[in-house]
Amino acid sequence: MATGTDLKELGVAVTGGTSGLGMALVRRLIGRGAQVAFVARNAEAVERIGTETGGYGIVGDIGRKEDIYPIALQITGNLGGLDVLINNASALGPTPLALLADTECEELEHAFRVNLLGPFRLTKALFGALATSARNGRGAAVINISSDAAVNPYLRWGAYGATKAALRHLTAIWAEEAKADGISFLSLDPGDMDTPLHALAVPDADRTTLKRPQDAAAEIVDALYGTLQDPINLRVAQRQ
Amino acid sequence: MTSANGSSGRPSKLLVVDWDGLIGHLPRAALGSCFSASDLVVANDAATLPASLKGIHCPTGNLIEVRLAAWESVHDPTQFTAIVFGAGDHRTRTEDRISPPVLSQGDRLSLGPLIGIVEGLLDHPRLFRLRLLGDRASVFAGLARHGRPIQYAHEPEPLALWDVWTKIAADPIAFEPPSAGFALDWRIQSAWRQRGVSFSTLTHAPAFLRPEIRRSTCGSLLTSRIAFLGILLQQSIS
Repeated sequence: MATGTDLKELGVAVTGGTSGLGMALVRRLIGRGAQVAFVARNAEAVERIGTETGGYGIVGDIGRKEDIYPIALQITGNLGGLDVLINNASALGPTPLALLADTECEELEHAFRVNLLGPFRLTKALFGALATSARNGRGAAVINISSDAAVNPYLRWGAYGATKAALRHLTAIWAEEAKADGISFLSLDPGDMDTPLHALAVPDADRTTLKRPQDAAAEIVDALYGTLQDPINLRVAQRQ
Repeated sequence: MTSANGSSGRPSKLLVVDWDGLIGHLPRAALGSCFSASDLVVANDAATLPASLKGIHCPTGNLIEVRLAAWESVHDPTQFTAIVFGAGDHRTRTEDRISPPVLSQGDRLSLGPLIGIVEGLLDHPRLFRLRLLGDRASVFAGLARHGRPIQYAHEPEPLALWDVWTKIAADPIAFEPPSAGFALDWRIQSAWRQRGVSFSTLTHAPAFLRPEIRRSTCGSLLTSRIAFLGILLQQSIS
C-alpha cells in the first residue's frame, strides 16, 4: 500500500517537469517523499515550480547535446546520485500536425533530438549513477514516457509517432542489456491526457474525455514503486 | 579532439603489477581478461566537476582563474579549498602562470554567474578557502553554466564535461578525472560478471577527505575482504 513517504530518500529526475504530465509527476513524487530534480527550458517556470514543490529545478533543453552533461551534473550534484530517471520531455513535431510529405526535415530532426537522442544521451550520462544505485541495493529505473502513437500509424502524427516508436524500441533493448546491472527500463503510455501538448496537437478535442495528468502520474508512480519492489533488484545488488 | 579519456588516437596500455610485484604491460583492451573468478575489482566512480572558473578579483579588477581543489565539507558545494591563478588559461603550464593579485580575507570574486568570497588564506599565496554565495542548486547551476574541466597544458583544445566523465561516473565530487576509470566500459563489466569477477565502486576525489578521516577510511579498507588488485592505466607516450 502506497504511503505518503514510501519513496523517501529516493532520488528521481524528471524531464519536462514544468507542465502537463511532468509537473504532475514532480508533485506526485514529492508527495510520496522522493527527492526530485526536474528539467525544463523556461527559467521562470522552473523557478516557479521549484518554489511551489521544493524540487530542484534545472534549466536546460534535452534536445541540445551541449546541455546534457550540465543537466546530468546538476541532477547528480543536487540529489547526491540518482535512483530513477523519467524521460518525459517530448516534442510534437510540426504544429499543426502535418502529413509526412508536408513535414520539413528539420521538424523531424528536432522531434528526434528531443524524443529519442535526448533521452538516450541523458540516460547514458546518468547510467553510472543508476548502476551505483542498483549496486547499493536501492533499485534503479529508467521510465521513458511513450504513446499509443508509437505503435499505431495515426495520420499526421508521423514525426511524433516515429520518434516514440524508436524510443519504445530503444527502451526494450536497453531493458535487456541493463538487466544484469540491476537497472529496470520501462516504456509507459500514459494515455490521452489533458495537457498543453495534447491541446497543441488536437486543439478541438473534448477535454472532458481526456485523462487528468495527475491520474496518469499516479499510475506511473505506482508502476515505478512496483518495479523497485521487484526482488530481482535486490538479487542483483546481493550478487554484486 | 584530444581528450582526457584517452580517445585522442594515441595508443594506451595497462601497467599490471602482480602479487610478486612484477610489472608488465598489456593492451588496454585486455583489461576484460585480467581477472579470475572470486576476484574483486574496485573502481572510483566519482564524476568530475567543471572546477575551473574564470573571473575577476573585484577589489583590483584583475582577471583570475580559480580552480576548486578540495571540499571543505562533504557534499556542501558552497565551500572549497581553491587555487587562484592570474590571467591566462590552461594552455600555459601552471608553473608559468601569471601570479594572481594578492588576496585578502573577505575579497569578492566575480566568477561568471557565481559570486565567491575569500573566507581565509592558507599557507600558500595561491591557496585559499572559497565560499560560493547561494544555495546548493544555484551553485551547481553556476558551475554547470560557467565552469570548465581542469586540464593540462599539453591538451590545448578545451575539454567538455563528456570528455572527463568516465562511463561509470556517478556522484560529481572529483576535481580532475579519475583517469584509470576510462579503461572501463559496460562490455568489460559484463565479461567480468560472466566469469565470476565481482565489481564494486567507491567514490573518491583527491583531497576529498581530511587527513584524519582518510586514515580512518584506509584502516577500514584494510580490514575488509578486498583482495587488492592494482591497476594503473598508463597513457603511452611512445
